[in-house]
Amino acid sequence: MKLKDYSLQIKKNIAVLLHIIFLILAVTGITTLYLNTTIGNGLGWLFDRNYDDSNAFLEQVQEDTEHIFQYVKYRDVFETDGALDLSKEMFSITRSDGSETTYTLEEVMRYAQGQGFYLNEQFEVVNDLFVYDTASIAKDCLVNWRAYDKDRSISEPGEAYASLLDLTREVLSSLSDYYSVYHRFIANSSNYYFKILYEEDNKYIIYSNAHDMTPEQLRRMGRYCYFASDSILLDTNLSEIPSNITSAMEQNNFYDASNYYMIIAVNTTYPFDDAYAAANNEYLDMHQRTFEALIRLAAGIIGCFLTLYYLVIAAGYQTKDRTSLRLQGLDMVSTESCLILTGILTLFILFLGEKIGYKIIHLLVVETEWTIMERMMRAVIIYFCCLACAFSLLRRYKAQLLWENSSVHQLIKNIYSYINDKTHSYRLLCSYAAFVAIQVIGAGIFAVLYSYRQFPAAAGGCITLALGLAFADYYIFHRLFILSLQQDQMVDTISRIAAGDTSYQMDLAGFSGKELEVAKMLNSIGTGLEQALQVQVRSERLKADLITNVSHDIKTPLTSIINYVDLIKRENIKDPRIQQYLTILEQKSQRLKTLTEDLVEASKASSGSIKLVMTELDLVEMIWQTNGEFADKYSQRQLSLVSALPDEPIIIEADGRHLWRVLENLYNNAFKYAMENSRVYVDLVKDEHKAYVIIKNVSEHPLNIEGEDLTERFVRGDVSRTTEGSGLGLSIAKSLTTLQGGSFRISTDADLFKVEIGFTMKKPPKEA
Amino acid sequence: MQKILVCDDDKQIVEAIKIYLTGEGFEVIEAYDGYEALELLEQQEIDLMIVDVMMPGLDGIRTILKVREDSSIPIIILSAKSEDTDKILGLNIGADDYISKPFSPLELVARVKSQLRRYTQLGNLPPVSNEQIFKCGGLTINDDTKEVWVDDELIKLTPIEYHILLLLVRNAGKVFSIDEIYKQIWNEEAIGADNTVAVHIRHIREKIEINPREPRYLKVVWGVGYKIEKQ
Repeated sequence: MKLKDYSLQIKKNIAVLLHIIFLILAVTGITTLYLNTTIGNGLGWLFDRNYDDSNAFLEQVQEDTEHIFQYVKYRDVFETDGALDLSKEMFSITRSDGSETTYTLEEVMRYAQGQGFYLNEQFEVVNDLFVYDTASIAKDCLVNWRAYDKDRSISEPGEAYASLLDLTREVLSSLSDYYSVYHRFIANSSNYYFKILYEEDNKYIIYSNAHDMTPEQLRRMGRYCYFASDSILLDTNLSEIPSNITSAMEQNNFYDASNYYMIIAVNTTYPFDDAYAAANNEYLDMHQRTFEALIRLAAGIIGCFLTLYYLVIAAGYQTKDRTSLRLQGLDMVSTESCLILTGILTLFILFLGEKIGYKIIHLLVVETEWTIMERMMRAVIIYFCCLACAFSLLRRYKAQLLWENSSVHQLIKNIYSYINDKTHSYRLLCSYAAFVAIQVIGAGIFAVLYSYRQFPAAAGGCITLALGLAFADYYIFHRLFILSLQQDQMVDTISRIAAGDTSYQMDLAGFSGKELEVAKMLNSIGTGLEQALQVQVRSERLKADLITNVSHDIKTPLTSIINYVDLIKRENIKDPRIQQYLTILEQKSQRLKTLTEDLVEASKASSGSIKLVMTELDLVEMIWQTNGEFADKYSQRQLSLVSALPDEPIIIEADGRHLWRVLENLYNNAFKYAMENSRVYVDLVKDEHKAYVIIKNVSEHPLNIEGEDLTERFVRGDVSRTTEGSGLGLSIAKSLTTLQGGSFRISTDADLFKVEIGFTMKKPPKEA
Repeated sequence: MQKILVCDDDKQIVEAIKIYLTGEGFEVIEAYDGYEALELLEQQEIDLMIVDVMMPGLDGIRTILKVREDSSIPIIILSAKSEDTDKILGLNIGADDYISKPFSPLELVARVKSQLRRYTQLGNLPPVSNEQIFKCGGLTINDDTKEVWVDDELIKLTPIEYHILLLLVRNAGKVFSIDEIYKQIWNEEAIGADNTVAVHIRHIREKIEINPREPRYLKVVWGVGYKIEKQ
């Protein structure tokens, strides 16, 4: 089974397990490192592959070398011909009764044994039987001389006296010094060699555990240090020169020999089992362990990072495709609470650890390692608590709840809600109060700080405060400026909507709070109006379509009516009554025809679904043409057309055919309603920008309708409606004029009927 | 006897048209939808076709398109749709004339005759060798005899009307303003122009056009002038 076949949850659990394993690896690595190395040497020691390069080796050599000089000092005191001589005299005292006694080594040792002293296995002076308070023992013996301390100088009279016990312990101590060297280096084989030679007049005094070896041979042993009286230089391959060698050589030159040399050497093959060999083995072991620990540490850290990386990526997801996020219990509380909870939990677990974990550590681990173990345990506890918290935060982040769920966010939201839901005046009041308060407090603090300006901290605070206040003031100015800018934008929007540009939408970027609401409302007013307008236009179109369709359906039967009336007429019916009926039928059917056609035209014109072909045309020519068309018709009712038109052309932009329809309707209107034998005036006047066609006639019937009402559909000058016409003529004329961008005005003055249509003139090309 | 196919789904209208056209000496064949019309066209030698637009089954527009695939007989559309766009559509797909319902019987007959004359005489007209003969569609002016013919019908015009028409026909397609016509005909500057020219034009239209409101030859370019359509 491959890894990818497992569910994400199992994989995550495996990753957690691996993470823990790697963490343990890293922790044990660190612990081992701590326990095995001397802190402060860095990692350089890692490259000291041999014990004899290490500081420990140097220390050992230094210590042993010091011991050797002890040996040199005491050899002749305790030894005769290379063997311990118990009969050697140690010291001589004169008692208070005046008797002088000389003690041999044997006597001293016997006395010491009687007092409970002996030398233990490490050649240290111990006493299991008695506890002596040396100060309370009377120093009753005057010391004449000490064999082991010939050069002792006495500066005060009291120092010449000592107790026998003190002297015994001095002897034992010296013996211990001597004998430990003797035992380690001379009685037993050692890896440490020394040879000290004094020569005077071919008399040689040699202190050595390698009498037969020459300095050259000793040098080949490995590490060495050679010092001769004829040279001021130390010949050594030790990385650090043992101190005090030269002075110790001079001090121990008891016979004032003029030539001497000293060599110490360590056999770095360590053939003998001594302290050096043991330390070397220990060193190699430690080196090995440290190296392993380093590798463990590195592997642990890398493993931790890798598993952590995987967990970070997979955190919160439930399925492999990483789509659904699942939040756990801890993720539901607010972000800050999570942090606080983590803190409390960490402290609690640390407390538990101290109470239980420490005890376990103390049971299992040697005392020297307690501190480091306890430290590690604390670190691990803190690490896991922080990790849990971090993953909770991570899941929130992935679910985009990190900020959303935080208390700070909630607080800010609350503050906003205090401000936003209130009126402008309330907000202004609050903001102004806050502004004044900040200014006053700021100025007060500034004044206080300024009075203490001799202190650098106060002066710095002063400057910071001044800068802060300046910045705050600038920010307030900026806010006010933005607000007024937004107000300008809103005013602009309102004026645009008022002017009819209902599709205009203002850009909401940068708006916030109350202003955003207002701007949104403005936009929705625009949208609402636009929609209402569109609905209206749509319904007008639908109405026009309906009328068009109905008119088509009316026209077909109408065709038959007209045609068959005509056919009856052709039957040459002599009966005048039937003739009259037929005439009425013909008239009314024709009227119906006009009505349907006008109805379609009127609805199309008012709904704007007419395609216009705008061209430049001469209004003067247009009027003459129209006059020509109607001249004959008007003469039928003895109407005379009177036109006063300018000579030069008046160019306007309009759709010729539709303008003709307008004029035709108006002329027809005049024809139908003008009083017989009257005059119809058609004039063209112009002002700076516009040209007006004015048609005036005197109505046959009294005009008891307001001018504008005449353009309503189906309104006619005669209430009885006996005249021909659909009652749509003026309505159509008005709609078509407006469509072409012209103005249309009807006015009545008693029986005077006046229509005025105006078009913007196009400036005629300037003639040279 | 010339055969005219009348196709309309309204039987009474077809019947009425039949009465009028039979009275004028045509043979009328009736059809009540597009498929029937196409069938009849294949069976018989038809000289002219009158077709309604809105019909069940195959409508007028598609019928005309089918007919035009292999025939060039005159086709007159008869429709209740009277808007410009409908007329333009009908004429563009191959119809020769367009009559809106309700129509006047006289206009219908006149248009049928006009179409038939133009169609049948297109091929057997004497070659126009004389420069004094000007033609524009069905309109012919013989400047030698000072005669004007519209679809082989002699038209009586006054001298001024004749000269205006001649001016326009000789410059077919060009738009003349009232002032220009005045200068050309009266040979003097138009002082305080009036509606004289416009009235003459109206009179010419009434004489040469079947429906003066919808002229075929002498068109009014509103606000600019008058012209004879180049055909």
